[in-house]
Amino acid sequence: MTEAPLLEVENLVKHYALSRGWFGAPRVVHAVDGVSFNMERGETLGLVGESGCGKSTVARCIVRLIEPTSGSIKVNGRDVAHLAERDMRPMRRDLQIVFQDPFSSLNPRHRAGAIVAEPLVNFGLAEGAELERRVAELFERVGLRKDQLNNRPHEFSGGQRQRLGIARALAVNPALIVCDEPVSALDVSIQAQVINLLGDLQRDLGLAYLFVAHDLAVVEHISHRVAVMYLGEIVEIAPRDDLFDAPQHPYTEALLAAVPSPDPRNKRKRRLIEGEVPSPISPPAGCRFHTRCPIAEARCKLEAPRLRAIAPGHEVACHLRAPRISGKSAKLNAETAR
Amino acid sequence: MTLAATSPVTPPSAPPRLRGVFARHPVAAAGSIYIALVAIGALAAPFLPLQDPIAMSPIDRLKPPSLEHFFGTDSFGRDVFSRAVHGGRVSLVVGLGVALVSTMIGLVVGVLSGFYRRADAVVMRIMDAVMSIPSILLAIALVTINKPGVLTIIISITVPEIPRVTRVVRSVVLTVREQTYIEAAVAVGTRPLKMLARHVLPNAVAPLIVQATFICALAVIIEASLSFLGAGTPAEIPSWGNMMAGGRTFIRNAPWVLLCPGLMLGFTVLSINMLGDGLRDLLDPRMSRAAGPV
Repeated sequence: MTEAPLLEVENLVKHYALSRGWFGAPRVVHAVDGVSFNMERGETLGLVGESGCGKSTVARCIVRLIEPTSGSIKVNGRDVAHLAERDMRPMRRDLQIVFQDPFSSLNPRHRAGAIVAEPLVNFGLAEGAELERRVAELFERVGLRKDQLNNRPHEFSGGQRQRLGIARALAVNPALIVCDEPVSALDVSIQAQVINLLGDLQRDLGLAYLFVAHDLAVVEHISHRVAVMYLGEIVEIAPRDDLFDAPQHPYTEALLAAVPSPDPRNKRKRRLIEGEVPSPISPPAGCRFHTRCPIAEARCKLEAPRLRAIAPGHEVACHLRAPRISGKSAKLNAETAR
Repeated sequence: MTLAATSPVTPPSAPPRLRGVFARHPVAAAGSIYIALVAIGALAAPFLPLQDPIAMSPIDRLKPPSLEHFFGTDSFGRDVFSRAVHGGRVSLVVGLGVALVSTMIGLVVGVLSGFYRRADAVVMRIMDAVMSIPSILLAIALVTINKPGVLTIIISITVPEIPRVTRVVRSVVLTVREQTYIEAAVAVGTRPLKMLARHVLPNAVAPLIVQATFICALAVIIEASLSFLGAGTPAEIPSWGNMMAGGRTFIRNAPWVLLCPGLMLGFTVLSINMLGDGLRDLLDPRMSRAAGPV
């Protein structure tokens, strides 16, 4: 067990500076504020949260479409957080991304075959007849027909375009594909097909997915583990079943309660949170969730809770649900830290 | 099957056939035909059965238009029609030259300032400064500090036109680089130069062609103005501008000396602009739809 995890994200921070006023201090958007997690090979980690909580920012930092303000992102033990693009390029073979919008993520002027061929050409993986064969293979792999090779993106449906995006990401045989809400722009019936395709590919190729979404049903279906983000921080991270059966953080509870359940016997406590997400420009002091938390106490306003293990692999950032000093949790902390 | 990543880039919808375009755009068609006539005349001038544009014949001075001299003769007895056809050479060379050179330079500068935020602030302020000087004044200044000649004229007119192109290219680059497919290309390891050639520049082609036609028209006018003012083409080379300057004194007795080259200049500029309008509609799918019956 000495091999480094596929992905180690530590204390990832991304701040955006807004224009400063004439005299005031510069204003900063705290998009991501100290996010840490690990991922193993072949694993799917779901990353959920409301719009604007920073989950897409985390995704884009990991594939280095944006440079994080601070923190480290280790891929196979190598920190890519602050690599120059020239040094980053070879790392991209392990690290691919599928975008949310299958319409804008494909260049409308290019043919489908050329879009999928681009990564192969960039990395010098194939050329000539070999290139054509590889592209045809990828088309087949994601369920597209070979006679669509010369079509342009607008001739495809939304689901087919997303398949194209997946084929492009697959072309370089990555170890991790970051899926930035890959199905939220698709019709529900198409969503299932794409999700199943992702599942098949994982089974056959041993891919790991960082699956960013706000649709909890989709996340529950595809993930091994789930991390919940609120206002730039991870508030709870746990194996899927633990998280969905026994959510600990009040925010997770509220998120799950908001999911309509088709099963009348399923009696999740229905406790909806009120109010709006506070501004990430001036996040609340103490626990960031205290302004909307149904169980908040005085100290939640003063002291920010850290992620603490309450069971193996199950970490929660809450003063009340994961109390600080107890022999048991300290030991668990030590265990999970290892 | 063209799979290679170097497959030629064409717009998403096949361009409508040229004949259909001309039918829908009679104005652009008329413009193209006129320009074609002037261009053919200018190119073939030395081989056409025209009278010598330079040979003076004092006996024939200031003859009104006739079958022998279609546009009459000027104060030195030179055939105005022959001179006007030859004068088209200067105008077209300057028009095309300026359009080409300013497009090329503007393209490079625009791409630089669109891509590099730091260069942008400096470059665009310089461009603003150049734009704030009336182009004809700047051209006169540049012509006077250089040797007279067609090349000098082209350079002098090009400089004030560069900011125009730069702004167009920069705005295209700024728009395109926010597209998700650019991020996608970064994610699959596309290098910057390839990114530019494959993903960014194809979007700039259409607006550039349109811009180039308008710059061409403007350059023809400025060249004529410079020559009219005596700062342009040397007097021994016939050009519409210096022909008009020569005819200015005789406008009461012999208006044809000034009017004929003047009208040719006017129609040429008008035609280039009409062609530009047509190209804009042809190359911009949104415009061509709007041009149909509303």
